[in-house]
Amino acid sequence: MEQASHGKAKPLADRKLLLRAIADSFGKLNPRVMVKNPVMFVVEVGAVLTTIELVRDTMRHMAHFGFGLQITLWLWFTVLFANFAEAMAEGRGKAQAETLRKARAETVAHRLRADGTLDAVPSSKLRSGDIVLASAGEFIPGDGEVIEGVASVDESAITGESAPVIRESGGDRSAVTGGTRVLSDEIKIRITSNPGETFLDRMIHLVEGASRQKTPNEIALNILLAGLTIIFLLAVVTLQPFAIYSGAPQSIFVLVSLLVCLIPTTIGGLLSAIGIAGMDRMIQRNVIAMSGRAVEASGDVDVLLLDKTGTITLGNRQATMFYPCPNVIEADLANAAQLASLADETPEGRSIVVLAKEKYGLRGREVGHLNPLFIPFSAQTRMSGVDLDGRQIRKGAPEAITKYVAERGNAVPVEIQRCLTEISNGGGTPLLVAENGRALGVIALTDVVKGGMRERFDHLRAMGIRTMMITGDNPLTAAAIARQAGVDDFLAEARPEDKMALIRREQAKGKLVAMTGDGTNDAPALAQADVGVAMNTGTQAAKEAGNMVDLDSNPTKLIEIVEIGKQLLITRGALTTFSVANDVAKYFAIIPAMFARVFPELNAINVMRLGTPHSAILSAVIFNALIIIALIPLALRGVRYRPLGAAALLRRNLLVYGLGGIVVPFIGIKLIDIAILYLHLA
Amino acid sequence: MVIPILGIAGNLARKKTSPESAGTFPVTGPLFTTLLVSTIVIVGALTFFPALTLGPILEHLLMFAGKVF
Repeated sequence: MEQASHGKAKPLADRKLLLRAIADSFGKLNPRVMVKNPVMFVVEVGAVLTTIELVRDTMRHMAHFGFGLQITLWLWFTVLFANFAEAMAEGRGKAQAETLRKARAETVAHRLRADGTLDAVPSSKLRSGDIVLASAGEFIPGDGEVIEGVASVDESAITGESAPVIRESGGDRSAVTGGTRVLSDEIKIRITSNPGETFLDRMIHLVEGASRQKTPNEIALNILLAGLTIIFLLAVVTLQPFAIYSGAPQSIFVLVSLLVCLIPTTIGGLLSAIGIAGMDRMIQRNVIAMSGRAVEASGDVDVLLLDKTGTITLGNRQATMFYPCPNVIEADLANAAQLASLADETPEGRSIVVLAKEKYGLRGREVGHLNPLFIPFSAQTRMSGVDLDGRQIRKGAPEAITKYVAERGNAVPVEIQRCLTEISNGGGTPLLVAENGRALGVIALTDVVKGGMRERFDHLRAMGIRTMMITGDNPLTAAAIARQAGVDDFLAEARPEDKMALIRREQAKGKLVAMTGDGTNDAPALAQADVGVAMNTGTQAAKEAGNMVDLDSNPTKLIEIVEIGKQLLITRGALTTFSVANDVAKYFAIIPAMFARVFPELNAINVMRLGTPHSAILSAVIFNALIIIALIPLALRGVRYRPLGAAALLRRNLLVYGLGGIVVPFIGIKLIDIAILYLHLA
Repeated sequence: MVIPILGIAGNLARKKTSPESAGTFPVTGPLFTTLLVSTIVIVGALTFFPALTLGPILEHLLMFAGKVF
């Protein structure tokens, strides 16, 4: 599932999305909307001013009508392009909300009456506690829990993932979501939510972003950008008296062009798009962030708390080694262990069969003709096994088998007893195998650390993030696994309140803490953590306490979430740097052009050798507008993220976006100038 | 102009201090020095460049062209 969601890079736009974004960008011209973005609001006011001036000029039949018209048009384009960026980012969320809405459409539910008969009711009439049947091809009418049966369910409406998932009663795969479709089999579901409060309803609200609020960082950056805008406004306004004194008064068109080129329109126009795109990237990874603030916080996280089971290690312990008794061949032990485990459907049992097959090529044989008698595991005997062909094979907890062997007049060899202790100390669980009342040897079950975890933790360390493993195991076992996985620290024998205390302790040190959880007892810690990622299969309490929900219920995703958060912060910083650095070239284009007619000597600072004063100013304005469009894909996708330390990242990005921001406009403006002169536009 | 800067300062003052780690923005060394100096120079120069062009820069260029006042 993880791979699939990685590969699913949604195309940036399709036709429908584009058309709607274009329409929306005109709607956003409304000054009451624009004023929320001070930088672009100034551009809009400038565009209005030049439009008025243009109308007056037309009436007075002034010269240079073509120049004024082009400047005015490009100023409006600048505003529209910025609106378009925001509309594109929002559109992706809206498109998703629409799909979700379709899924929410009324369906017929088959409610099970107390007497066992079925009753067709509309899904909106279902209440918490109702029991419904859903069979192949039908939509699941509401959020609930599977209480009977197993089915494959198409959850693409929620997760966008086309591969069906298995939902079954009991265990942690029992939660189903209304609006998803049963593909095969039939399940009985207990509804757990009332109409209007379902997960789908809440998700629509979230992805639509109707209630999107500016995050603290966005507000701070907005203040900074507004400050820069005021500085440049003053610089431009005070320039006119200087110009008049020098005998070179400037037209409104030129002054507004200068202002618009100087204020940070690039970042001003893309700022909200970057934020929305961050949430959207989370959604593409099947993580629903409850707020933009949560996404931002995840980029600043210092400590990751990771549960051992399912996150760092594979869900279950697996057989990894056979240790035979003296005088016993290892293959015989493997053979006996495999026979004893054939009917054992637990993951541990299956792993024994697999290990015997891998090591000794022993296949899970068809033993039906030998009339085997399988003895299932019970809590009293604490062992299981098989009787066949005159052989009595048993496997189980060391104490239980030791007793079983002793009852038959045998003893467990000293070597094996030592081996048992060693496995326990190394963080594993030993199982003893006996045949016909005689000990054969030991199977070691150990936690298997997921592949690639060590590298990921190394990356996190390079990023300055500390990882902590949380486990209920004893400290000895925990230490062994922590060492193997390469985490920085661990908390053993952890109870929910210990977790909570740990989070508080780290936060008191000024650190931001992220964690995942799914149980109700995780809820307080999820609420306390700066980034709390709840699993979709988890309980309602956990989902409400956290500020993100992972639809795939994959705890390892916390690492990706941190990366997306960092990417968002870096993208914002990179584009701000780029935007301000751009100003240098624009000055060299506009200033000499403004005064070249009166003081031809100023052509010395026309380093780009732009054709005419008008073409120079027009080129700068056009570049300023086009760069917004050119950077939309970058704003939506985010800059490429590399797991490096802050210093290395900063150096890299300063080189690319700082130095690049100074150089690129020199080239861009020159090229536009050549095009303008070629087309005789100015 | 002072007011937005005070706004940012107020916002920063409310932030909690966090311990240093490999993920901390480095504020020592040549990299940060370059960044800080160039930001000050660029933003400062951008503010005064228009007025300077009409004043000293133009005067300098005129002087080389042989015009003095």
